[in-house]
Amino acid sequence: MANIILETKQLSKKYNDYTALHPTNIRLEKGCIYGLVGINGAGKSTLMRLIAGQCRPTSGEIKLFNQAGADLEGVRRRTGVLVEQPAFYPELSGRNNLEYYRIQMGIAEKNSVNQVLKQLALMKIAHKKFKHYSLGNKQRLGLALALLRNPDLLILDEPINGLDPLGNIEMRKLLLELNQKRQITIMISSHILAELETLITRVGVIHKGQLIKELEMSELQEKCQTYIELKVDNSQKAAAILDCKLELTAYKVWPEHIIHIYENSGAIANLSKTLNQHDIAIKSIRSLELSLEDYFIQLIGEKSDD
Amino acid sequence: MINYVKSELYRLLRTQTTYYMLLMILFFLLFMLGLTWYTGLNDPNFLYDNTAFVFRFSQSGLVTVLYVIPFGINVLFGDEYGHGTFKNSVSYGMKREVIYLGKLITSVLVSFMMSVIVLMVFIPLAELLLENSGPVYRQGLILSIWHSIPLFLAALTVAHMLSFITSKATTQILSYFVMMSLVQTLLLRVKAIVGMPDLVMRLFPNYLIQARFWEAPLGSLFCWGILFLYFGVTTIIGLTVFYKRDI
Repeated sequence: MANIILETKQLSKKYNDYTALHPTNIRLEKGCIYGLVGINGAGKSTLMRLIAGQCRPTSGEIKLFNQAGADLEGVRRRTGVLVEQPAFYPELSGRNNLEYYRIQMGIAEKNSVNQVLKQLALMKIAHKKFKHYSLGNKQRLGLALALLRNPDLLILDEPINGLDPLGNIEMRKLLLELNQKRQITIMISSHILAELETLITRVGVIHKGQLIKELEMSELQEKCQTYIELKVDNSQKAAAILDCKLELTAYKVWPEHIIHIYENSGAIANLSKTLNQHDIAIKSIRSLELSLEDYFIQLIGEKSDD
Repeated sequence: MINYVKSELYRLLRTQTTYYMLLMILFFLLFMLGLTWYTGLNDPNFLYDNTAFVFRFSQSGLVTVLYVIPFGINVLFGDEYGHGTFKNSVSYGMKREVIYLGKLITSVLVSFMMSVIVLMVFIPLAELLLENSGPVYRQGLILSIWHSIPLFLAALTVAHMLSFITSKATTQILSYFVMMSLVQTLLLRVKAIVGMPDLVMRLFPNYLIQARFWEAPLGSLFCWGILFLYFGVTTIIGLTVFYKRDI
């Protein structure tokens, strides 16, 4: 059985009448990088805040490293968290802020602050007061704090926010390195799926407080394969032909008589011939690729239609 | 708990506002002292430039310490919700009761250190600048401070609780003054009109300080009892609210 690092069972959060998170079940296996994707206000931060203990669940259970209930506080020592804005004392320097938490966490090794400052390329500005940090550097300092105690699980809420393109690449490289070399399990959120594409092993799409889809990255890549876009004079009639004559099922009819065919079977070779035989005029036909973003929008679009 | 208190002390000793607060208290006291000395220097009929007056005056003014406490707590911890820094400690497994009690212990330690510094500057300087009326008045002041400690601490537990259950500094300070001063003033009026057992008034630290209650039989013990009562009630309320709060 796989080593489960994090598990939630029917975890939910309500603020009066507003449901920020509907009952949610997720499982993170050791060593995975789980991407939580959703538009702003979808419930990503709420889920992460609940896991981090920053807010109390309305119902449900959280298991961290196989511990639940009152034992959670003890095992939270094995996590590194950066949820929403990095929070530090504005009047203290970056180094003093980290030193404050080093003392608080009881980390004996005094050099650990220097190590994370170096790792996050913050040495040059470590003496500056936190209030003078740029958004990107605040994010870096937040990540430095998350790494201070060599965690086994990292919970990062949009850590790439505010970073310049170079910082963005460096951050992803660092996270991959931490995952591969130190086997750190990572839960990372973003509102842009493509941003996490090269990083994550599993993705969960969250929308309006509901986890609407969970899939492995390999499955997602399969879904984002090439498809055929067909524009005809009568999409209804064409759809019937696709069903009955060509036995194609993986297609979707869009407005303005556009059909997307996601299947790449032998029947595709006879597509134009069959449609012509049934007096359906093909206005255009082209091969396209469904991007991660298209898939994501399609997913949340379907959910909104529901 | 020890690590938490150590980290808080580390932070406060590196925060400028801690020193500004100490300087402000010192400045106020030294200004008053300087004014007394200067007036005595220029006016031969001025009767108050001696340690007897200054120390007795300070003794009767000890109640003002209660009104400095909410501002002090606010400077030390008041903006934790604003900075969002509670969430880091909680996320890394720090128990909420450790945070609550750790900050209380830190504020007691910092208040003690500040008081020692203030007294170490104020008393020798007063004896140096003004006519020394003998050690009796100095001892009187020190004894009054010593006996007021549980009452100061009782007030501190209220200010501390408020800094955990409300996020805004103005709400914290206003609530403190309502609880510690306004209610007592109103009760005193009620007592004057319809009468009321004195025990109710004795629940208020400022009433006890003004009445120098420690001089009464078992008065000192009663003051410590008040501290334990305040500590118990405020800790239960403060922790209950803090446990339920989203941070």
